[in-house]
Formats: sequence, structure tokens, C-alpha cells
Amino acid sequence: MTTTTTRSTSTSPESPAGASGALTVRELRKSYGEVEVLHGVDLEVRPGERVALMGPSGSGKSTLLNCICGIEPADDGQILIGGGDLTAMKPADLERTRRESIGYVFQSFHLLPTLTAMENVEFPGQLVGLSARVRGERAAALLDQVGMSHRAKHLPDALSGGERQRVALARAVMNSPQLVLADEPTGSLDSVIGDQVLELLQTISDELNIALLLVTHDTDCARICHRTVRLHDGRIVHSD
Amino acid sequence: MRSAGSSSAWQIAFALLTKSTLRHWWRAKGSYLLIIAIVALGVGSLNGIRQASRAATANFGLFNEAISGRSDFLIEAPAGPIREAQLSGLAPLSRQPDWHLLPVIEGPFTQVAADGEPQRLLRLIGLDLVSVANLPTFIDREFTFGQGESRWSDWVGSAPRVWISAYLAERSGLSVGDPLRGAVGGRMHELAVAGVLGDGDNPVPEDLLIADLPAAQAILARVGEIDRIEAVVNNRAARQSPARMAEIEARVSTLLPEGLVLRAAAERIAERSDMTAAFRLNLTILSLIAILVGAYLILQALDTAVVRRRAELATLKSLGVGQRTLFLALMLESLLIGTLGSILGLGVGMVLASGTVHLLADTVNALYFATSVEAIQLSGADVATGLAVGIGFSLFAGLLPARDAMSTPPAQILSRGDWSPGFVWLRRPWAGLSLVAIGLLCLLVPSLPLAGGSRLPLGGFLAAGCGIIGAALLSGQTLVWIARALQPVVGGAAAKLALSRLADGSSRHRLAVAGLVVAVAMVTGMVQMVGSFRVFRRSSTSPNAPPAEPLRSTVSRPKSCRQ
Repeated sequence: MTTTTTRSTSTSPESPAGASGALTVRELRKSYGEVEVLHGVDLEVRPGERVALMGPSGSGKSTLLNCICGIEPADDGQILIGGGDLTAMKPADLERTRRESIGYVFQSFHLLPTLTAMENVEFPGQLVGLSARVRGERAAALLDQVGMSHRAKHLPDALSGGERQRVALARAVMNSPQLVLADEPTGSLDSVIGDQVLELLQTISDELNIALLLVTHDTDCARICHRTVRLHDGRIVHSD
Repeated sequence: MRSAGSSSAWQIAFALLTKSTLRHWWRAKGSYLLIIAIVALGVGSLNGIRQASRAATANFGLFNEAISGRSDFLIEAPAGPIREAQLSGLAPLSRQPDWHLLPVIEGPFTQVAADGEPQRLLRLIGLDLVSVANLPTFIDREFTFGQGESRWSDWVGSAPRVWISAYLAERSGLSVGDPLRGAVGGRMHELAVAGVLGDGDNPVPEDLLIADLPAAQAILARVGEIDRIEAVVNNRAARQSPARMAEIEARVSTLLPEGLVLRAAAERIAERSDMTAAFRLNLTILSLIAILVGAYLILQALDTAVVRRRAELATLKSLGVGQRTLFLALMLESLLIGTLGSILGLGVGMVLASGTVHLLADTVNALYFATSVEAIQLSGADVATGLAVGIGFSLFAGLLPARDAMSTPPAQILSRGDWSPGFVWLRRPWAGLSLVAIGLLCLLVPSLPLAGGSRLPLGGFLAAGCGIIGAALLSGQTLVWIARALQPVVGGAAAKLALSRLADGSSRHRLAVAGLVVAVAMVTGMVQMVGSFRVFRRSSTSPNAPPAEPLRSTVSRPKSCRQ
């Protein structure tokens, strides 16, 4: 366990010192006006590693996640994904990194409402220029993997919460990203369905060697992760 | 899985158009059909008016020119009609062999039905029929005032006989000998149809009534006066020679008696042409209001779409769809609305033009000059104008919602679901105040002189535009101030709730109020403009004058007649 009050650091004992991880966060700072939300956060996630990010409301979890996702600009520090520094990227490069290297699983699913389950999973492949045949085969395989083949032609409105999250999970890994960011992925599901989604996350992460940063309030969710990082007042105060 | 390369913004925008936008449309097809229909109506109004006014004013000229041919010079009094006392001095002119003199009087004649209800406004032209019958143009066009064995003495004089157009004869079911009832200045008249002029090959203005000069003077209660005397050069080849025409003009000027002025007929045509241009401009502005309404509705619809699809847009951003792509997707949606609406509008325009061309021709005839209607045609310029205006306004209307869609950060949207920038600039009263101030300054700009002596009140136009837009921007803030002032004194939960929403003054409330202000301002402005036009026309018509003796013997003499 590593605990700090001045400079928060969370690095897996096995991880290299350089930037070869799926995600490397160095000295990340973020303020909203006078309020500093992140106080120099350091975090490293290795390829295939699953890390649970926990902390109370207002601790900075969502801000950290948004910074890592590239949709909130950091004030200072580095965010390295696949060797590229998100904080120094031009908007176009940032968008390409988001398309190719990062998958996102939301608490409220955020499937595109006019697209069928199959099209939702295919869409990230279309963004990166995969041919229709390749992305069709890939999406069909992923839907099969998450047990949603029989619902491939259904719109999100016709799916249950658990089914939507399965589709969202398939969509998140469509482009085989280095990193999947999951924000309370079971927050809108009952415990049984939530467990199934967590098992799927674990399975896919293992099979595709995808790193997972799982943001959750629920300590039970963290069981699928290799380690847990706790954030408090914008600082990492615990990592095991 | 690594890609071979990212899709372009255009490819993704097209994919979003087909997979997202069109499916949203299908879900709310009624709303989108209505928006497209409104754009179609706007473009249709614009094109319909263009086509109808073109067809209605294609063959314009002075009314009598349809019968007597194009005149070369006009002899007029500087103000008002030519009086009998002035005509004796024209005798030297009338004895010249190089030209014909054609006295003309004209005025309105309202045709009434058997039950006394007004049917249509006609233009009564009084001509010296003997002189007209000798004009080369009249003979060339195979017009005739009489048939068979009739003599010219049968159809000249002050008897209330008129010649009508073939169109009027067909429309009113009139034939030779039938009575034509109508009113002039509140007095009822019953005229006899003496003949029908024109046919498909030789059309005459639909609303034209021809009478012999004394008859027209009697009907119009203007015996003893004429509006003008037209000079028609007999040698038509001379018209091609400016030197010859200048020489003739000089001779006419020399022989012209005191108190009368001479000017080229082309000047009169140019004046009338300017008046119809202004008339067409008024109609075009009216049709542009329809387009503006369409643009406003597109703006509202797309703004609503952006708000409703906020979570979807946020998701797309999180998936790596760029700002430019989202902007393109929204603009493509505007483009599609504009294109569909414009294409439909071309058809709507044809229908509107077909339905209004005769109404328009009637109005032009009543207000300005003679015209005969041509077939409605959709030209390439009409298609280009319709598409350009419809698509242009749609794209303009889509700009703000598209900017909203691209500029809203996904993180903020995802964390605060009801957040949307909206039209924040409407919350700034200084913008409205500045525009009003600029408008006031524009009033100091002097009008620009134009060719022909008229002036363009450029500063006035700028002031009006700045005033309208400035007032529109301020109207939302004014509503907020009023609501806040009323809050302490109003009781009742419903009223308090309503006032609290207004006092909050969301940008969308302000946009709605601004739209209303502009709409009311433009409609009021158009009504005032049309009203001022009518006043101008009334003030420019000749007043009735006391009766006097017939003038034929003074200004023309019977020559060879076709009878």
C-alpha cells in the first residue's frame, strides 16, 4: 500500500518505471476556478491490468476519468496512453486517440438511440475506417461474446438495462483499445445483472489483454480488479 | 485492433446523417415534414411571385400602345391634364406629314355584375379612333373597329360604345352589342360592346377598354381635357436613326405651343418600369418574410434537436467524433431540410404562380400600365434562385445550433444533463442597445443620389435594420425586467410560477420574443409600405375636371379609313 498526502502516487510494483504502461498519469493537476480538484495525481496501469478507482463523491474520480479520456483539459502534468501524451496533443490527435486507444463504458450506457445493437457496436469501427465487412464480422463476434447475438437488430429502447450494458461493453472494445475506462458500469443495474456485467468485463479484459480502469463506489465491484486505488480530495491516498 | 486509417469528417458526418439524423426524422416525421413544408412554402412564395410578376409584366407599356403601337414622343402639360384652351396652338403640329398626333385620355372603370357587386377594375382608354385606324401598327396587326359594311361614322362620337379585349369578352361572356355595366367615380354607366379586339396571335391587355375620345371623356366625366398627346413618327425606318429622330424632336419642339412640354416616350416607359420594379420588390420582400419564418422554425427545430440529442452528441464526442464532424452533421441536416424544401418549393411556386398571375396582372393594370399575361415558365434562374434562397436560409438557420452542438464539452453535458449553452448572446442587453444607438446614428447618413434624379435613403434602411434587430435583442431583456417588476405584486401560484420562469429569462425565451418582435415589425413595415404606395398612386392620378367640348377637330383630322 502506498499512501501520500503531498504527492499522490499509485504504481503497480510490477510496472516499469517508463511510459510503457497502457496508461501513465504523472503529476496531473486540474482546477475549476479557485478550486483545485486534482493535486498532482500519479497513476500507472499496465496492459491487461484491471484497476479499481474508488473514492467518495467529490474526490475527483470523474474529473480524473474525464482528463484521461481527453474530454477535460488538464492544467498540468502528463497523461500517456500508448506512448502519446494526451495533454500535449492537438485536438485532432486527441480525437484519434479516443477513437483508437480508449474504450468507454458509462453508468447509463449511452448507446446511440437510433442505432441497433449491431450498429452501435460497429460504429467505433466505422470511425477508425474499418471496412464494412471487417467491422461487421468483428461486431458480430463481440455480440456473440457478450451473449447478445439474438438481440443484434434491436434498438436500445427494446433492450433491458443489462442488455444495454453488454452492448456498450462490446462497443467499448470494438477497436481493441489499450484501455477501457468504466464509470460505475453496474450503477444502473441490479446486483445479479451487475455481477454478470462485471464477469464479462473481466473475461474480455483477460481475453483481449485490455487494461481496465474501473471507477466505482462499490467495493464488491473491485473484486475483479488486480488492485484498488483510492482517491480523496484529489489525491491518491491508498493503493493495494 | 488497429485501423488502417480514420474515416474523414465528411464520411462520419454522412454516416451520422443516414444512421442517426434520418432516423430521428422518421421518429418525429410530422414535425420535420412541417418544417420542410414551411421552407417549401417560403421558396414557393418567392418563386411564385417571381414567375407570376414576370409573366404578368412581360408585355408592358402604355395601354394605348397595344392598339396604336409604340409612340415616339409625348406632349403633356407640366402638371395635370391638357385643357381645351391649350389645344388651339397644336394646329401647326397636326398639319405636319411626318407624324401622327394621338390624343389620349384614360381612367379607371369598375365593371359591376348584374347585382351591382364590383367585379374587376378595367382601364378605359379614350382615343381618336379615326386617327388610330390610320396608324400603320393598327393596320399591320389586323385590328379593326368595325366589320363588313360598317362605316367609321358608325363608331365614332360620344355614344357610350367600347371595344373590349378577347380575354374580357370570354371571361365575362360578352359579345358585340351586349351591355357592359360599370362605375366611374360613383356614377353608374351602361356601355355597349362595339367590338372585340385581339386574339391569341395579337393579344391586347386583358383589362383594356377602348372608346372613342369624346365617349371616354363623357364616361370619365372629363369632357374638354385629355391626359396627353402622343406623337407617332410615320416613317418607322426613321426610328433607327438617332439623328433623324433628333431632327424630328427639334421640329416638334419648335412648333410646340407655350404651356406644353415634349419628352421621349421611352422616358415614360422607364418611369413605369421603375414603378413595377418597386412593386416587384415589395412582393419579393413579402415572400422573403415567408422564408424568414421558415428559417426561424428551422433554427428552433434544430436547436430543439440539439437539446434533445444532447446525450447522444456527448456520447459521440466520447467515442472520438470530432467537433468539426458534429458541426458538419448538423449542417448536413440543415442542408437536407433546405434542399428538400426548396425542391418542393419549386413545384409550389409553379402552382402559386398559376393561381396568382391574373390577380397580379389585374393589380399591375390597375396601378401602373397595360400588360398581357404570358405563360408561366420555370427558368434556370428561378431554379437557381429558389435553391439558393431556400438552402441559404436553412444553412444560416442551422449555424447556431450546429455551433452549439460542436462547442458543448462532453464532460459538462455528461455531468450536468440539462446544460446547454443556447443563445447566450441574447442575454447581453448591450448588444441591443449598441445596435439601436448605431441605428440612430445611421439616420444622420444623407440619402444617395441615383441615376434619374431619385435618391436612395441608405441611412434610413440601415437605421430601420439596426432598430429592428436591436429592439429584438432588447425585447427578451425587457420581458425579464417586466417579469421581475411584477413578481412582488402578483399573487397566485400559477402567475408566480410563470413570472419566475420569465424572470429567469432563458435564452430560448428571449429568442422566441425576438422572433415575435421581428415578425410584427416586418409585417407592420410592409403594411405601411403598401399603404404609402397607394397614397402615392392616388396623389399622382389626375383630378377630374369640368366638361369641355370634343377635341378631335383640333388635334387630328380624319385621313384614309379602313372602312
